[in-house]
Parts: sequence; C-alpha cells; structure tokens
Amino acid sequence: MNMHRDPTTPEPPMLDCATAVRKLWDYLDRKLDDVDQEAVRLHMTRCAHCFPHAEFGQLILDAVAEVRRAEPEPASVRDGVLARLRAEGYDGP
Amino acid sequence: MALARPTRRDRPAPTERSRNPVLSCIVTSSPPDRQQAFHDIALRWLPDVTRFARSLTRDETNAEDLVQETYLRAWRHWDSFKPGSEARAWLFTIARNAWRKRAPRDARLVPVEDATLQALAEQDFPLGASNDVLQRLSDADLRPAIRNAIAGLPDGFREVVELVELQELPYAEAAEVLEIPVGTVRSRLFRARRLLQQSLLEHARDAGLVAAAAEKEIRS
Repeated sequence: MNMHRDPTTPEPPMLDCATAVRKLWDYLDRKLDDVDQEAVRLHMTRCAHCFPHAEFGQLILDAVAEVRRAEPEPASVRDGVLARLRAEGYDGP
Repeated sequence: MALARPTRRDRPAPTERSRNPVLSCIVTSSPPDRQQAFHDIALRWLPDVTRFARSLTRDETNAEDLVQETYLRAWRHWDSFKPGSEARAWLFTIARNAWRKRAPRDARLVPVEDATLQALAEQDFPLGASNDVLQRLSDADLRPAIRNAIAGLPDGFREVVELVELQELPYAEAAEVLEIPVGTVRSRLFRARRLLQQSLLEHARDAGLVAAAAEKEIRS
C-alpha cells in the first residue's frame, strides 16, 4: 500500500462489496477512471469475500485471451475468395 | 494469480492502412491501384472475417461461402468504402447482413429464450470460486472448454464476445456492426462472461476437477 499518497490525487472512495463487485468487469478491463480503478483494486485486495470474484473474473478473461488469436484461414478460403473476385474483374495480388 | 489483465497480443492496428492518406487516395483512383488498395485494406482482414463468419454460421462450409460472398460484396461496393473508416468493422457488417439474408429462418440471429440461462446472465455479480477451484482451473488447459462455451452462448451474447473479446473491436465499433447501443454491447458482454464462468464451472465438474460439493460452495 502506498503510505505517501500524492496530496493532489483524490483519495479513492471506500467501496462496499456490492459496488466493488458491480464495477469488477470494468476494473478488469481497465475502463474505470484512476480513482475508481484504485478504489476497486484496494477493495479487492482487502476483502476476503470479493477477492475470489476478482480472481475468477481474471481467470475467465485470461482463458478467453488464450483463444483470441485468429488462426490463419485455410488456403481453400483464400483461394475461393480470390476465384470469386477474379470472376468479377479483380486482378490484384 | 495477478489481477491485471494481460497485455493484448500484437496485431495490426485496425486503422494503420485505412487511415493512411496515400491509400485513402488510392481507393478511388485507377483500377490497378484500386485492386491494390482492396488487397491492402480489405483482404488483409481475411483471417478475421473468416473467424467471424464461422462464429455466425457455426459451420465450416457455410462460413467459407459467407466469406466469399462478403468479399464479393465488398469488392462490388468498394467505391462506397469511406477512406479512413474501419475496414474490418465494415467487412463484419457486410458479413452479418449477408448472413441474415441467406440463413434459414430458424438459424438467424435470434437470442435463445432459455429462462434459466437468461436469469443467470441477468444477475449482477460475477461468480466467485474457492482458491482450490481456481487453482485447479488455472492448471488446466481451458482452451477447448472456452471454445465450446463460447460456441454454446446464445447468439446475442456470442456475437458480442466474438467482436469485443476475440476480435478486440472497441465497444462503439461492435455496436455499429451489431446495430445496438453501446450500453447494450457492454451489458451483453458482462452477462456473457458470467455465462462463460458458469460453463467453466460445469466443465470443471464434468472433468472431475471440482467435486459437486465444492461447486455448490462456489455458486453461493
């Protein structure tokens, strides 16, 4: 925990569990403003009830990220597309 | 387990070429350059369009046909593509519209009306899981389970997951493709994630990773 907070930085609000968990997906997506992001982070690291929600939320995002990368399309797809395009006058690469 | 989301994988910036002023000029210029621009701006997204088509059709043969039709339409209407706009979202929109026209009525994008599923999705809270369950899930290869879980999502949720999570479109662009408000994209995404969590728990139970008693515990 930062014990020497920048006085110009607003103190993050104390969140109750319901609010913290409702903001969880935005927090994990890093879509909250800095103050809210920090408030949720603090709550999640200190609250034994909410921490598993955060961990499981992150796990699902990590698991989805694992399947994110698009596989190269099969050659048959590209060949089929180019054949249709060439029939319509496309003569590019 | 760290809470911070991993860095998104490197991929071509969506607007890298489509916002290139040189290419923007090419789009409406002479035929050879028009073809080059189509190649550089539209065909570069072939893997992504193919993946999106698979998500729509859930069938490899139909997906290939849809990709061909998408690019044929894109080529015919290439002059209407606005230089500087997001080519990938434009192609997704063409693909989705083409699919809606050609799909059998019962296979169109109609949300699955499953009361239990909907009720689960509409709960506000993500699911929690015990440390033991999390550890077991973290240690497992979840990719097949996640692919199945995404494929099994109701259409309205699956589309959002495909565009936002897998294709990494911003909410606003996904909203444009799906013709729904940005807020609906966000709420569907969050609900879809909850359904994926539920599917993972079921997978963990079926795979013997979690005892029924433990699953009961983590649902509470």
